[in-house]
Order: sequence, then structure tokens, then C-alpha cells
Amino acid sequence: MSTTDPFETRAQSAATAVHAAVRGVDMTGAVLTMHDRPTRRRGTVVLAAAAAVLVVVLAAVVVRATRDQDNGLPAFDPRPLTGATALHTQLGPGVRLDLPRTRSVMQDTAGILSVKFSDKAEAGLLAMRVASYAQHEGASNLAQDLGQDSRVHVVSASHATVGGEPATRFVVTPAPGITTGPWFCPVGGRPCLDFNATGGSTVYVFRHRGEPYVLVGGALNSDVTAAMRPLVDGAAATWQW
Amino acid sequence: MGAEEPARDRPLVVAVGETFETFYAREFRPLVGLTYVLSGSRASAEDLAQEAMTATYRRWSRVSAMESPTGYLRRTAANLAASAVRRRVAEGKAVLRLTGQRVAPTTELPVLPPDDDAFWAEVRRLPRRQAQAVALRYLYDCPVLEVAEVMGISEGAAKSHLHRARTTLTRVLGLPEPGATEEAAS
Repeated sequence: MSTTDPFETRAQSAATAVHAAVRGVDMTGAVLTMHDRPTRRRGTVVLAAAAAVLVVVLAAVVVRATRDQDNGLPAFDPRPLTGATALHTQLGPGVRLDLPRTRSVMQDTAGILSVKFSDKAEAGLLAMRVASYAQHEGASNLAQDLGQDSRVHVVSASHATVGGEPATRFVVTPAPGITTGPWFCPVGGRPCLDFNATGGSTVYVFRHRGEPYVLVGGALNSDVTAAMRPLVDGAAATWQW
Repeated sequence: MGAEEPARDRPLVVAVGETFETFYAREFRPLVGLTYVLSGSRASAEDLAQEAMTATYRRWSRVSAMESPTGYLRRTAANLAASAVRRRVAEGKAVLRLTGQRVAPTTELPVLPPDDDAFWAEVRRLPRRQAQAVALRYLYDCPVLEVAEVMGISEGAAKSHLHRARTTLTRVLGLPEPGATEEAAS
């Protein structure tokens, strides 16, 4: 017995025809926008690159000066963010952390928590149970994976604690020329966090009951990245299982 | 648990911020499809899609923080397409009143196969909200809830628009009711 709905069939055929018809539509607007940007911002980029080199040199000096004799990483003590309020999440096994009231929860499942902030449009915060790093098999040592990833430049790495678990706190920026690519992939088969998020990021990696976790706050420009940093540290400081 | 209402699945890249360039590259062509089926003109469709993109770009800092930037864009485009059709009809009436002559229909070659072209032509003859609901539902394969969100109406209202549209389209296109096909076959 046929269960085909003639209207649905006709509508779907009409929709498919439209998609085929627009396949050749010119994308001039996009091309212009994308070409325009480097020209407009060349001066800024050169200045930013020079500043970045200076920061890296200074960071290297500071890191070397403050090295922990045990394993080479300085310690970092995340601080709660003033005015933040509790957010009870679905993230397994039941995570609570403090975030500003401007938050808007985009995803909240056992595998991932994704939050935006109305006053920081091009930024966001993610907490994730990690299934794999950059779609490679497993996530047995996230700190090592991140530290050895040639797509990112590790500005700093330090010891910290999240939810009572030993963690490594990274500040990373994308390596030159890197614009996109899979990064942390969550439990539950959803898409991996895209590298576009890494205009600059603060990343905590840690384990709980044998499972790897990551807490990432990222933004698309340096001002917002800086503004995100205390927020991410606040979330790390107030994380409870 | 869960002090705040979690949203449905979205690509993670949007959740942590997306450049307008990426958004444009992903959304522009499907948007032309929407404005095409609602306006009936390929040339206008591209202009309308660009206009919607420009409006979104101007408010990008606010739009990108929304739960669904895509929904905002589609709603803007659908409203622009409706305005364009209204303007065209008004212009036609004005010409008819002043000159006594009807405005010739556009002479663009159809870009779709005749059957599909006829389907969308009938969609455009529906009341504006019904046409928008059908376009969103079938062009983007949106669930009813998402159609409602994009149109800024309740799920019940969206269902009602879709039901009425479907009844009309089934009649004017001469399509058999789903049950009728099975009965004829048996």
C-alpha cells in the first residue's frame, strides 16, 4: 500500500528545483567583503603582528622566570567573577558554575554546554565532555594534544584547579594562516568546536572520573578575548560537580 | 535541573561567534531561493537577498548574539519580498488607473521546470503569511516550530497557516488527497 502524500511530493520537488536553480547565483558580495578586509586592515595587522611578537617574547621571559621546578608550568589561581550568578547545567555529571546575567544558554546537554553573552556578541563559552581532539582517536591527554597542535600558538600554560580536579590553563591564539578546522569534539556526536572560535581563547583541560573535560572561552577579536578571560576564569573557579 | 531553558541544537561555530563572511557564504544562496519563490522574480530575488544581508550586517553585533541569526535573516528577507510584491501590485494598479492599461507581466524566462514554477506561482497567490510559511517549511525543510520562530508567531498559528495553504494548493493544483491515492490504488 502506498503512503506517498502527493502534496508533500510536489512541494519537495519544487523546493529541490529552487535549490538547483540558485546553485549558480553569483556571490559577488561575499567576495568583495572578503577581499576588502585585508587591504583595509593591513596596517592594523602589521601592528598587531609586531605586538604579538613582543608579547610572545615577554611571555617567554615571564614563563621562564616563574617556572615551577616540578614540571615546568607556573601555577594559576582562577578567581570568581564579581556579580556572576549560578547556572545549573545538564553537563554530566551535573555541573554548576557562575556566569554573568547577560548569558543566553544555547545548548545544554549531558555532553556540552554552550553559552553566549548579549554584551559580547562575537564571543562565547563552552564546557564539554570531550570525545576526541580534532577528530583524532580518543582524548587521553588533552593538554598534550593542545600543546603539540601546530595550528595554535600557546601564549601561556599553567597549572590550575577546576571543580577540585587538577587542570591545565592555556591561553592560545591561532597560528598564522589558520582560520578553521575541527578542535574539541564533544560526546554525543555533535559537530566539533570549530577553529573559527579561536581569535583568542582561554582553555582549561582536566579530567573527572576518568573523563576528559574542556572549558573554553573564545572570541573573534582581541578586545573581546581580553574581556572574556576573567569570565572564563570565574567559571573555572566556581565549577562544581 | 537546568535553571535556564536550553535551546535546540545549533552548529557550535555559531555558539562561539561567527564572522559575517562565513555567515554570508553559507546563507546567501538559500536566501535567494526564498526571495525567489516569494517574489517570483530572479533579478529581484538577488537584490532582495542582498538587501536582507545588508540589513543583517548593519546589526551584526546584535544579530550574531541572537539564538538564531539565520531566523532573523530569513524573516527579514521574507518581509522584504512581501513588501516588494505589494509595491509591484500597487504600481500595477496605479498604472491601470492612470492609463487604463495593465502592466505587462515580467518577461523573465522561468528558471524552474514548468510544474515547479506553477507550484510556486500558486504559493505566491496565497495570503502573505501562508506563502511565507509554505516557503520556509518546504524550501528549508523547517519543522513547524522553526517556521513559527522565524515568522514570530505561535506554533498553532504556523500550523493553521500551513494547513490552509495546503488545502488551497491541493485544490488549485488538482492534486489528489493522500487517502484518495491509496483508495484508487486499491
